[in-house]
Amino acid sequence: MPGIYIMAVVTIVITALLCVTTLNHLTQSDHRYYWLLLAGLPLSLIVNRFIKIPAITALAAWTGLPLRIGLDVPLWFIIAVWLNAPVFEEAIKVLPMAIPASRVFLQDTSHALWAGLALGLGFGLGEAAYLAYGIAQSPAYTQIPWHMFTGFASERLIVTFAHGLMTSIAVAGFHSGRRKAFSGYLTAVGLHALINLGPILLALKLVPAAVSGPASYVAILAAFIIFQKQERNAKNASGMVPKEIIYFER
Amino acid sequence: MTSKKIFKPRASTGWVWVGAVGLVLLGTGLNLIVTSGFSGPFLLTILLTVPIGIGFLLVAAFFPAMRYEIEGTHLTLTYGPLLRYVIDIPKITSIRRRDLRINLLSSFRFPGLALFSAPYLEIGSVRMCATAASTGILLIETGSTKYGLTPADEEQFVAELRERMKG
Repeated sequence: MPGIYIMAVVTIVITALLCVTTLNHLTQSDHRYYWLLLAGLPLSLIVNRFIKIPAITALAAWTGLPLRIGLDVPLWFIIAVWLNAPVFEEAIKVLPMAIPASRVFLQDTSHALWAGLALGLGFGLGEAAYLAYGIAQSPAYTQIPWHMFTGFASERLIVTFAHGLMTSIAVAGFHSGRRKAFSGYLTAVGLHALINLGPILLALKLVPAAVSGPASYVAILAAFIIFQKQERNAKNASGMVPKEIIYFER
Repeated sequence: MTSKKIFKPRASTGWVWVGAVGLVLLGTGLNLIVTSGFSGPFLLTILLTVPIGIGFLLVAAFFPAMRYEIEGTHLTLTYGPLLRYVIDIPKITSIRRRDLRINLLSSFRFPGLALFSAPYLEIGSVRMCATAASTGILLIETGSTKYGLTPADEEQFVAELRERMKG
């Protein structure tokens, strides 16, 4: 069995444990959000197999361009490759909110934020499994022992939470009407594109690996700051901030 | 009023976060040792990740040792051998329960665990020994310092403190 599968199981178990802990912490153990976590699991497979890969392959075939990026490839095609994941992934992650049963989570901003977080976390967990499967298909990786994939583990752990943060921002927009829904989606796409910018520039050999990785983490931090601001605003608006209890003062 | 009373903190899963981060860091460091040894280009990464990973795992291991001890006129907040804050009870100026607003500046703070000195919005630096990072923190202020706690039996804990203030 390829070593990546063992590391993928370890990564997904640890990350899932952290996802559930986070959701319980935020939602005060409201188990309804687990259903959204589960709903997000197959979305990575669906969007990659049936939308992203066919779309970019068809575009490359239609224009007669090779399916790769490099400085010899037209800029518009590099941009298309760069935006392929943000545009389609952010769209499919919010799709379960169109189901009538999910509307209950759109009644206030806090619930919308947590619902988006759950969907994004589920997507991230499914993506870890999907990528592990893809890596296992490459002969170059089949003989590598499982403990050599710690980079995969740490990256997937962080990216799973990044997916959660981005989707929470998008779904929170859905709570506030159509115009805000679109701007929420665009913000999520923008953050996702920023996170992916480092790896794209690295593939183009325009920045070294030492720059591309940290640049992505800065974009994830920006997503966390936006999430935190929206959560604070939502709590303030809904009166969820508990009053202070003064036991003693002199 | 010199008898010793020990209070446990609220239950939480904060140790999971710290343990997971510790495992990832230690795993990364050990992997680099196996793949490139100590003479490769990742020496600095190894020297950072392995000790920090072990440190995080140690913190996770001492999670059950968090407690609040009231003895005589002193309240001692301990987290195993890693943390010990002693508060002079007569010097307490306020005890309040509130949610704290997190400042993003670095500190040892995870969902379900906050230790050491941590900056918070509105109230500044707080010495934390708590099983929550921001929600339902019992904030104890002395003249110069603020402490954040999360006793499981908060009412009994506060009643005991107030009794010692009188005594």
